[in-house]
Amino acid sequence: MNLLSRPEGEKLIVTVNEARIDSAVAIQFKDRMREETDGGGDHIILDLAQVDFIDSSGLGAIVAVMKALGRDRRLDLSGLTENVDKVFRLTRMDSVFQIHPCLEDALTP
Amino acid sequence: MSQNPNMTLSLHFTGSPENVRPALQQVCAALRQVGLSEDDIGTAELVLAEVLNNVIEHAFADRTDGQVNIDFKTLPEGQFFSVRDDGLPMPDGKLPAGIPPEVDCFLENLPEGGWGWSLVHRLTQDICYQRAGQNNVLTFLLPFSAQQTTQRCDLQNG
Repeated sequence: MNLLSRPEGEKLIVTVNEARIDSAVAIQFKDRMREETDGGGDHIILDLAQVDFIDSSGLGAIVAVMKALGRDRRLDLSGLTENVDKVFRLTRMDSVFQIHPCLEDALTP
Repeated sequence: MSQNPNMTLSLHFTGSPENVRPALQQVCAALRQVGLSEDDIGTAELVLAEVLNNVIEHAFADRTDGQVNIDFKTLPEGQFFSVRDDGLPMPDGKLPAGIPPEVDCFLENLPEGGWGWSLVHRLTQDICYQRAGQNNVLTFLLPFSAQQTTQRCDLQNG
């Protein structure tokens, strides 16, 4: 699972360089997110612009990552493609996450 | 748009987790040939992913030799699917109701799953589950989105 993270000011951007977060990679995604966020960063932006498909397992993995970060650290989402956005809307998870249309927007203070 | 509106597809594969992606890719490629909009293809992929993940996780449980058949055909109102597997029957022989998990809760209590059937119910019509001998048969209709319906009407009228 190809994830890449870089600090941007106070924020940590984690980019998912994969087309899918589905049941085949959900556990791997959680493990890789833990590795990428272990080093710190209280405000994480998960950049999903390259992800064109998630299923309920993928959604569950993203929620699990947010829960693992705890109350003192924040996870925002950025760049949801149409199919991914649909899953967040239908499950009402769009009301749980702060969702930014793009990284530029996510980084605007 | 529509290259082959009456196309049918029959796809057979062995139900292991690593076979779900290739099966979905084949169905999506076939739906593209039918001329479905990308929006409808995305919906079909999501519904089938949830159905197939459920088959593998629950109907096949620890089995890796389970057999799955996906058939579809194009109807005037949408894409009709039939998914058959030779796994264990649904609990109580019924389709799960698919009540979506509560999301208005504290961070610690947020759901990490349980959306599968609610998504399937939301996105399909005329969904029907039957136990036929040693097989589960799930049939449903994926209605065309408004945009697609217009295109198809144009085609029929023009």
